[in-house]
Amino acid sequence: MAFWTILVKDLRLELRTRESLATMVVFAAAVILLFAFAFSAAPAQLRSFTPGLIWITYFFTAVLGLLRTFGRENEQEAYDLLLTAPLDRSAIFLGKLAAFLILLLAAQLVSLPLFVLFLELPLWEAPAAFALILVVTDLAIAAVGTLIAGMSLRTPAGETLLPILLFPLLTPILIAATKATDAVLTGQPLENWDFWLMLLLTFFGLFVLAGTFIFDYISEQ
Amino acid sequence: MASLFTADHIGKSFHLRPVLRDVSFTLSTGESVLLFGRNGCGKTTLLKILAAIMRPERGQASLNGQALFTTGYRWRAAMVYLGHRANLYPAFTARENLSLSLRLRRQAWDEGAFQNLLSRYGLAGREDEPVRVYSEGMLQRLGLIRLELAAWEIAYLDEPTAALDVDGAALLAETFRHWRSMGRTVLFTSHDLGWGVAQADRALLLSRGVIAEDIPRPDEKGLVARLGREV
Repeated sequence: MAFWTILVKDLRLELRTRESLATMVVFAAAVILLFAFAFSAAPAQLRSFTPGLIWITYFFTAVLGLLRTFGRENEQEAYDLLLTAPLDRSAIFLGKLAAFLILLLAAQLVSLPLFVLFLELPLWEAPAAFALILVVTDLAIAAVGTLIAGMSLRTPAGETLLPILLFPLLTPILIAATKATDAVLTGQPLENWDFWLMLLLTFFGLFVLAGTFIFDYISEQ
Repeated sequence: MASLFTADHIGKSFHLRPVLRDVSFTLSTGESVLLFGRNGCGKTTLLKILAAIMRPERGQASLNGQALFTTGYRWRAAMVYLGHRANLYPAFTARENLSLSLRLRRQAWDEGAFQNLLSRYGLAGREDEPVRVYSEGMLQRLGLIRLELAAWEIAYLDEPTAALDVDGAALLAETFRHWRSMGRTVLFTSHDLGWGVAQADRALLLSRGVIAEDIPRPDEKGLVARLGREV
């Protein structure tokens, strides 16, 4: 119940303002265009760069989204409304995680065609496998990001603290996603990249578990 | 009056500087108690700890005999908090904000009560505007409507008159009387000591991290004199 209330609240706020989505899409588009014009590489070389470029772009896109999503909780101290409510605070964590996941997927849905158009990303060669990696990576990013943002953005120097805490934790996710994407784009079978998928799922599972148990503690100042 | 709330030895530091050292006091059912002290003495910190927004480093509090900080979340149904800011989402309308607040508390929406309160607080006809267009005073009035719609036993109000005009402050004074008649307990801060003592059954002086004095039937001159001695 409280989970749905938080999820719907976050999505309605985003639909009302479109602040996070606009920031994330514009940032992703700008980076994709920058990469497209900065690298005058042959198609084969471009293909070897693309998996890394995709996930570097979405790594920073996610951080921007988290900053905005949690930042607006501090306007008018609205977050205090959630903290003082008689609800299990793990519902705040899970609701915000789900809302951020939807937001990240939406930003990717809008910006991925630009990768196809400008960086010749061959999405059509293995769409289902790529979609699987995208969703699993986003789950891991959302779980780690929501937990760290929930902790850091309640502190006075939260916006500085968030990237410092988040980047080291997101780096293994970035590596796993890049490796899995590279394997898919070079036509390798699932057994060659299922390790990376499992690693991403492990990150997701661990951080959801951690968030569910400790969000109550870390959300208080 | 029956004792409703007890705070025992609450302590909190920021950057190793103790703000609250050892705060203990009790509140009775139906009491309105003014918490006062100089700037930076820890009034807001104390209210935030009691409202479960901050975590104390030590100490405990109990409501109706039930320990608060260590026993789940259901006890929060008995309390409400209104901070310096209105605790509302600027992009949502007044109706959406208050409906969200009640959903979070698992309370049903009462359109009739909402319309009556909008009229009473001078916000009729503005309920479907996003609250980002509201003035600070209007936000504070809406925050008070949020409290009026909710079911609770104890309220923590941090500077509830800070952005209110004379009419708003008079309205809040009337609301305090109504709450008292309902047996509701209020712990509040106010830099407007004249207004504060008019509502208060008791005043607690917070100084150097402890409740330095518990003053029954306070008067403004007495409180000002005590604050003067704090310099």
